[in-house]
Formats: sequence, structure tokens, C-alpha cells
Amino acid sequence: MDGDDRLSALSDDLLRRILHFVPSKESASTSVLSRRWGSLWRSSGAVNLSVRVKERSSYSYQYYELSSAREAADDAFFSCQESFAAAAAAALAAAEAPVSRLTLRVDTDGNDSVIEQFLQHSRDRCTYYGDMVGDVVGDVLSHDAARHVEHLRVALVERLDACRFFSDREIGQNAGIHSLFFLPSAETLRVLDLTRCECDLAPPALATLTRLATLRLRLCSIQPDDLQALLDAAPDLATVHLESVFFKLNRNLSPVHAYQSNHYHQVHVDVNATAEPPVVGLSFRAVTTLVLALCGREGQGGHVNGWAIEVDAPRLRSFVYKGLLRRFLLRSAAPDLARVDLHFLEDQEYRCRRHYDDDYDKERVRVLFWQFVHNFTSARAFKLKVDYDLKDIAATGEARRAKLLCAFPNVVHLELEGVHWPTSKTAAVAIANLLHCCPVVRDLMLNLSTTVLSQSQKGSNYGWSFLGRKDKLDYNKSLDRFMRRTSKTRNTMEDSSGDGDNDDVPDIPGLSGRSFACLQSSLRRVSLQFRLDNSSSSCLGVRLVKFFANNAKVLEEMCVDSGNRRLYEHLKLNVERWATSNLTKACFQHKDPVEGSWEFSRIPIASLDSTTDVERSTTCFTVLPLQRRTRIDRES
Amino acid sequence: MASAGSGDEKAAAAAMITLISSDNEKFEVTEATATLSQTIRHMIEDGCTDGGVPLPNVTSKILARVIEYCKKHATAAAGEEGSSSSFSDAAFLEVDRAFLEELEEFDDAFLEVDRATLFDLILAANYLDIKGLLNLTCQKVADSVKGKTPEQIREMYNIVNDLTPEEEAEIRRETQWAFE
Repeated sequence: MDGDDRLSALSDDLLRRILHFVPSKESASTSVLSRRWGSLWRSSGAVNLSVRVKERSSYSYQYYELSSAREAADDAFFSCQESFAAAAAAALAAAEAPVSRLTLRVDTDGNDSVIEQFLQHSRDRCTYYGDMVGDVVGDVLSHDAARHVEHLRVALVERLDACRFFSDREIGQNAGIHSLFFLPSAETLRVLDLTRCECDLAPPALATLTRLATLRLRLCSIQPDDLQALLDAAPDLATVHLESVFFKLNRNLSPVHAYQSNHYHQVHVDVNATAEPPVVGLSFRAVTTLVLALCGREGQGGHVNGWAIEVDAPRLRSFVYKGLLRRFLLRSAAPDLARVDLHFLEDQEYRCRRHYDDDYDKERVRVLFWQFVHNFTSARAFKLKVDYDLKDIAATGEARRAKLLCAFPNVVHLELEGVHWPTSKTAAVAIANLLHCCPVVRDLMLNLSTTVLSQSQKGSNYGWSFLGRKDKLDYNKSLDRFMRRTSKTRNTMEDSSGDGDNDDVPDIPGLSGRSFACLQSSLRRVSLQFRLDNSSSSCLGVRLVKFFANNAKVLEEMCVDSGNRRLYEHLKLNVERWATSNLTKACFQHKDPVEGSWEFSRIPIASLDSTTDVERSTTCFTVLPLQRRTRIDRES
Repeated sequence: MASAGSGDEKAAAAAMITLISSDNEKFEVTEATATLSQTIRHMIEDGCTDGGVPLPNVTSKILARVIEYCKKHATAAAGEEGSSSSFSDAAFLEVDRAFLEELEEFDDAFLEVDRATLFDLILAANYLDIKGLLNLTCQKVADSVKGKTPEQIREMYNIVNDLTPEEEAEIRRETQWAFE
């Protein structure tokens, strides 16, 4: 079996399909594998060009005075360029079937100027800031064989680009290297995927993008008007990803030029400017999936009031946003918008100013947050990640709640990831706000982490084993406290009888004692992820476990990841007591040692629990570690 | 992978298809899952799926994997199309989760198989005409030869070179750019 040549045994069609994805060099070299392979590669229907460019300056700068060394470096650099250009032309010329897939990838270990020199300079004229004389990308795109391309990808990738997307900074300058003035095959193009291109597509080139379905721009720069023209030219465009796209104000700056002007003139904008921010408005007529991530606009620093986005996308179904909180408006209703994933980055300036206790800024964050999410009231699945402290988005007080909160009547899946100060009492209010806004949520995921600036120094000096012991001690301490509180809580809840403002209830200010529609009838599954930090013995995560065990009437499953296995063991043991302590009688039913799950059944006690719908007279729920994603179906 | 919820089965009870592997194992799947295969879609359209669909070219081991793929992608596709009417709440919950967990992550994990299984999946995807799975598996093989010399590729896939040295030299001369 192992000795079989199963690859060569595949049909011609299947081998061509494989070769369709193979880089052109390797693809062409398969002709010498064996007779079987012959010239199959010529009809793979794809030309995939890729090259890794060595940093030219790394070995020339050091010995810059030695002209011979410099010449050798230049020679190696341009030999690489020439052989790539020749191989590209040969690969395109060798294609016997129409080329439907054309990809061109230039990687470098150096920075973007290495790629720029590789694409635009030539051996004869290699001045560093000279006019561009060559056009490696343009030569490929204008080749005859590229005229019927359906899937076009141009990726110019520098060393740091891989981590750029995770840097959580909006793009602040033009990152385009190749200026794209035309598309090779407007009529046939289905997928356009560009990285580090400056798109100066003139409207005539876009007259007919009738088949374009997917547009992906990464680290590209484009004028909003030009992007709009592109969008308007593609009536069937369904998927748009704009990642680190830089919206520039002027066309036709050469990349070198733009790079310099943006790089060296930092624009300062007054954070407290009250003037209306400039708006980037885009209309996506047919788009169903839209990703806007880390985009930036020329001339605007990265702060909350920099610029606003207005989007018109009536057919949108799923939307992803990653960036600063800013004014955002869906201009028209998007009734099919079901899935929303928002990740709000913390404004750098705000982070510095937070310690000055600037109330105005804080209120603005809160207002922007709720105004932003207000656009998505039709969502069914809502994923929120907030880099701000959760208390900054919490709507405290009746007046604020009335002004800011809105209902998400369809949300069944809600996910919230955020940070909070270990001692903050307001973070839970943000959770309460969301529970209040989502009356039919079935599936809730909370991922909480704490910011422990003051303790971090101390904490880092502690050994892990000690931390573990301390966790346990703290945990036991906190359990004791829970147990002592139990009776108190029940009293408070009975006393409060309904809608009273129980912000001073010791369990979870803002949550305990409130009634939430979702807890009464819809919340079936809760996933909690948190870390028990050593500074606090009343970790919000643990208190939330207790809260949901107590109050979620139709809970079926609770998944807990406390970052500490032993803590989890403790949690399991005590959920029973927590659940028993309030309203319902819970009995331990079943332990599954393989799954590590514990099952409890609850029998609501009618006399205490007059509000519960009696149709589910017996409910049960399972507690299990979060990392095990297996669902257990218990309903008959 | 999460099992299909009971509500899913209830809602789609009328549209279950039975697939029968070469070793006679039966698999019950929803029509939405089964019709990711164009081959099965045509059979359903022709009304010849009563009593199960025999798939003599696919073993139960491979069919189970193929169904795993189809279930996941059918769920995600249902989310894309937003066809709320034909789905129960439980099914929708799965759909929403599927959207939030990235499909690419599933695909990456799905492809963590040995080479023999990978080829079996290619053949099954081709026979069943499941375009997404076919591209995914072919891409995986393509990735494995990236940056490899012909000698390395031969060794990796047990390819016996039946070209004479003269023939090979001639080909290398013709496409010299591929061997630099």
C-alpha cells in the first residue's frame, strides 16, 4: 500500500486540478517526474507566480564603500528580478488551456521598498528614488494569456505583514506598492484579491465587471469614489473584504511620493474637536458579506472621532467590523442581516487620557458604542469584542439606559469578550445591559479577562506553583463567602420583589436581583471563560457561574473555562449548592468521568417560585469544561 | 463536530436521504447535506433515492468523513442563504455557531489526515461531485509539492521515473526556467 504511486494513478482531470493550485515552477517541473505527467501542467488552467526577494540593502549597506560588493549585490538582485520576469513570461506563454487563475506573489524578508525596487527598477537605472522604469506586475497582467482570468490575485508581502492584522492598529498611511491602473479581464473576473496595491482604476476599465463575486483588498489604498465606481460596476458582487484599506483623498500619487508624504507628516487632530467628522460613505448594492477591518482614512489620526462610516447594504447578511469605535450608520435597513461580529479597539489617545478622568471622553465611548450596535437590531448572532474596559460601555442609571439601550429581538447567540478591572462593579452592568437587550438569547458566551496593571509587577515574580496554591486558597475563601451570602441573597431577592434597583446587592451589582426575560424562558446554554486572578477573591467569573446556576430557569448546559483545571473541579461541586440555594432544588444526577461533565436536575419549588412557567416542571443542566465542545442532547 | 440537534431532524424528517457505503453501512443525512453532492442532487431530482443511495465507490470510513464535511458546509450555506423557514431553532443555533466559528478552521482540521485517506477523499469528492471538497483536497496535495524538486516529489509520492536520461535532459532544456 505504502509503495503505491496513488498520485499518478489519478485521472488526468484530477491531476490538472491539483496542478491548478501548484506554483508555476513546480508545476512545469512535474514534466520530468515520469512519462505519465508529460505536459499535463500546460493545461492546468492556472499560472501561479511567486518569488521571494532577498533584501538588497542588507548586504550592500554594510560595505557600501566597496563598490565591488555593491555591484555584486545589485547583480544578484537584478538577476533574481530578470529570471522571475522571464519565468513569468514563459509560464504564461506555455499555457495551452485558457488561464482562469492567475496569482502573483512577491515576498520579501525586508520592507516594502525592497519589493518596490524589485517591481519597478531595472539594472540600467537603479537609483533609489528614481522614476519607475520597469513594471513587473503590469507586464504579467497585460500578457495575452491573462485576458480571460477569472481568479486574479496580486499579493505583495513584506516581512511584517503577517503580524500586521493582529497588531490591532488601523492603517495610518498608504501601504500600496504596485499602482493598478487596469484589470486584465473585466468581463470574466470572478474573484479579485489584492494585497498592497494602490488602486487607481479608471472608470472605463470598470465598465463591465458583470461576473465579479468576490473582492478582497488588503493593505491597499484607494479613493472612496474609485471604490464606489468599482462596486457600482459589479452588480453581482456578494462578498467584500476590506482589510487595512487606506482611503486616500487624491488619486495618482506615485507610491513613493505618497509613502513619503504620509510617512513624514503626522497629522494632528484635536481629540475634543466638536466639528462633525468627515464621512466615508459606501454603497454595496448586492453585497451579502462585508468585512471592514482596520481601515483608515488619509489625514485622520487614529482616534474615536477621526472619521465616520456610512454604509448602504440592503442585502447584507453578515457583517464584520474591526476598528475604533466611530460614528457608523447603516443608511438603509438590512432586514436579512443575521450575523454581526464587532471588535472595537481601544483608542490609543483615549488610553493615555483615561487616567485624567475625562468624563466627556468616557461618555462619548459609551454613546458611540450603543449608537454603533443600534444599527444591527435584526441580528440573530451577535459577537462583540471590546478592548475598552467593560465599564466604559455600561449604561448605568435609568436615564442612560432609556437613552442608549435598544432591543435586539432576534439575537439567539450572543458572545461578549472584554476586559474589566478586578474590583470594578460596573463591568457587570454592561453584561446586564446586553442580557436586557436580548430577550430571546439561547446561547451566551462570555469571555472575560481582567486588567491588573497595579498587581502585574508583583504577580510576575510569583512562581506558578505558588500561584496555584494561592488560587485555591482564594477560591476556598470565596466559596465560604458565597455560602455565607446565600441566605442574605435570598432575603434580598425576596425583599426586592421585582424591579427594584439592586445595585448594592453584594453578589453582582447590576445583575443580581434583576429580572431578565432571557433567563426566564430562553437561555439554554452559557459558556464562561475567565481567569481567576490572584488579586481578587471574588472573581466576577465565579460569581457569574453562580448567577446563571441560580437564575437561568431553562439552562441546559454551562461550559466553564477558568484557566485552572482544579478550580473547575471545585466549581462543579458547588454548582449544586448554588442552584439549591435559590428557588429550585437541584440534585446531582450523573457524573461522566470521560466527558468531565456533571449533570444536575432541578425541581422548581412552586411555593418559592411562582413566576416560573410550570410547563417545564423538571429541568436539568450540565456543567462541563468549555474546551470540550461536544453537545449533549438530552431532550427527547 | 457537533451532532445535528434533535430539532434539526424533526424539521427535516420528510427530507432524509439514506446513503449506503460500499461495505453496506447506512448513513441517514438531511437533503440539504446530501445535495452538496451534485451526483446525489441529480439522483434526487430524478426521484431514484427511495430505498437508499448505493455508493459502491466509497467505503464507510471515507463516507463518514465526507458527510462530516457536507454537514458543516451545508449548515454554513444555510446561514448564507438565510432560509429561515425550513430550519428549526435548534438548527439555526448550529448555523449561527457555524458562522461564528470560522469555517476555515474546520477545513484545516478536516485535512489533518494521512495521505491514503487524502487520496480516498479526492476520489470520493470527484465521484460525488462535491466541488468544495474536491478543491480543498486538491489544494492540500498542491501545497505539499510547493518548493519541492522533482526528485523530492518522486520520493514523496513513490513516483517511478520511466524517462530515459536523454528524454529528461531534453525536457529540462525546453523548460529551463522551471529548473533554475
